[in-house]
Amino acid sequence: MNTFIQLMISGIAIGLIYALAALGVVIVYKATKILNLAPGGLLLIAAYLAWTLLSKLPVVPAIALTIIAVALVGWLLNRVILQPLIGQPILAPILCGTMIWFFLRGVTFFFWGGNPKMFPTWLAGRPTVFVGEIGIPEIMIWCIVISSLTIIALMLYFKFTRSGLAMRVTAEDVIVSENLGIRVLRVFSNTWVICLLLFLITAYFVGAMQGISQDLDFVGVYGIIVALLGGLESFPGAIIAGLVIGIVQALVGGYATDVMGGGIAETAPFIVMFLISFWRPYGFFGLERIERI
Amino acid sequence: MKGRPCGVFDVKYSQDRAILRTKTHWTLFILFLIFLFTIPFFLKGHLLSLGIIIGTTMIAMFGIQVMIGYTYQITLGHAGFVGFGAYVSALLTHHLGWNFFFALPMAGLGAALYGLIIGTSTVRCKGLYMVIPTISAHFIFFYLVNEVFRKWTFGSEGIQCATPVLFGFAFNTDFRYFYLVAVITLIMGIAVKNLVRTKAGRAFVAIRDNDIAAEVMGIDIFRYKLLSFAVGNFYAGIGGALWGHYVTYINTEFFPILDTVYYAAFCIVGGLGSIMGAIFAAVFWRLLGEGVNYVAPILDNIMGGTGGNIVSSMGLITFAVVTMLFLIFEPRGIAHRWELFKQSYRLHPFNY
Repeated sequence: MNTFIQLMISGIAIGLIYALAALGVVIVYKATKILNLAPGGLLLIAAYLAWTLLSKLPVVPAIALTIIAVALVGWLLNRVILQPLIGQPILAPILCGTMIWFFLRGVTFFFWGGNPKMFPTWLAGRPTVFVGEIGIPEIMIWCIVISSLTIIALMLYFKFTRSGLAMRVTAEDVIVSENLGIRVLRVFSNTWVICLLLFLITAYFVGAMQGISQDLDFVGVYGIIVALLGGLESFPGAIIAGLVIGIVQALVGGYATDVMGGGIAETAPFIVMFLISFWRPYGFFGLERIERI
Repeated sequence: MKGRPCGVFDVKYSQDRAILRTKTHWTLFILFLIFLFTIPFFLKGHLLSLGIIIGTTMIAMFGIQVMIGYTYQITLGHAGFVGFGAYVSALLTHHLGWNFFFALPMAGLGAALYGLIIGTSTVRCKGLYMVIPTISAHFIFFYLVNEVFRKWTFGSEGIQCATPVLFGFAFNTDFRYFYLVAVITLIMGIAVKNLVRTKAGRAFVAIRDNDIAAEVMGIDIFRYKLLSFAVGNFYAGIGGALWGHYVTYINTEFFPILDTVYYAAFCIVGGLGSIMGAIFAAVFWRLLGEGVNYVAPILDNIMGGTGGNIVSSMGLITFAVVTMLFLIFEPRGIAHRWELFKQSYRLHPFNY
């Protein structure tokens, strides 16, 4: 039973990380109708920027500077690469996303090399807390708390602020919102900035749990898949799908590794997703499009 | 000039539908064949092996062209299918002692079968959501090789692929292997060019352009989507098997997730919906990779002290930048430029 609870908690923590990465994809899809395939690269650049600044500066200015730098990256991406692609066939911006991923992977490798990096100990070296006999790494608790708060903050932002409202309108219909006087291009760049900030939070926690290396972009792949599984337009969908995938991964990794080999923990989510794609082809909460000829 | 200055002068349907329509076409085609089969005499060593790799990539590229370019089933698992074919052929030749030339079609059929299993999800999935089953296919392939069939595939240690032997003639040098690849690529190329002109090919295009309209017109879309998956992955399997037996040793490291994306991305760089595009894509991809491999060490020397970082990262950066530039400035790919060139050549002294 103790193992089960332990696995569940780590599953929830990992699941929320996936959910955060997936939210980055969902937000971009909602506002711009581009499936963002770049989270791998965006996570990498966010993580390495965070690491560099954290290891050079004191905590508070470092985090503030990281936020600014990462937001700048998001703004630039939108301005330089994705804005020229507006109006192109849908496959072009999607593959551009993957190319951004590879580009950032190359850039991070060029500047920071292949050796794994560790965040400072106040972040990465958190002790394990014991509740009775159940040991929980403290970082996982923080992860659960902060990602939940982020998700709530995001929902409030969409519900109660003017720019959040503008974003929802743009998601509904770009042309109508442009006619209503909303600056659509500004909404697009806001979207990318928020997306990058979500990836920054993800990067902090993944980096603290697993160290920062080029393998980090695997979380990005899971982010894409979780967003698709939850339904590309749905926030709750992304969170639920993230939790499903995280828990499946943790439980399978905990119980089935001896029987089914070490690779099963990575593969099980994909098998589950393949099966779910028969049951709900538009994801858990995705809009089922009614198509007309 | 034996071209067609203006208008179309065909009097029979067979003339109109022919791939090689004019005498100029025939001359160029025969010149191309002569060129192709004399390549090994003037290209040596590394460049010849590059030619072989281009050939095998081209076969896999035909497959992805059928899937993405003609049927618009967005697939992000092509490297997995290529690997599947390579492994089927490797296992058959290694454990059962089959001749390569029997294992090769089986590799194609094995990959096609795997593609059919994955393709069944097209019953309900479509558009972007096709990414889920196809990317899953890639990772399930890894799992199958590294864990489930570990006893036969030796997991991550990799497996040896035997040298192809035909009637006692071993294709054991680059010189001989080039002819094998060239002939098979030609056959596969002509086959796919003809496939997309048949009823099935037209059904593919109808599904690509609007699948609901296609269904209304009486096309069984599920059947043709599955057919597209089967054909595309058959090509992937053949390409993979040829590649595997050329490098003689394979493991799953050779089929990374990056490659699946490159297959899709270079398909667009080459030009969607055109077999010529697949050819351009394969050539362009491998030549670009070769150029990077050639330039990177030199740059490393010039810049000094990057500790080899630039050698590993330059490939990614160059590929990404080139593809992005293509997507932004020429989203219709090299094949579109080729069409424009042909057009202007045909009408040469006039503009239109």
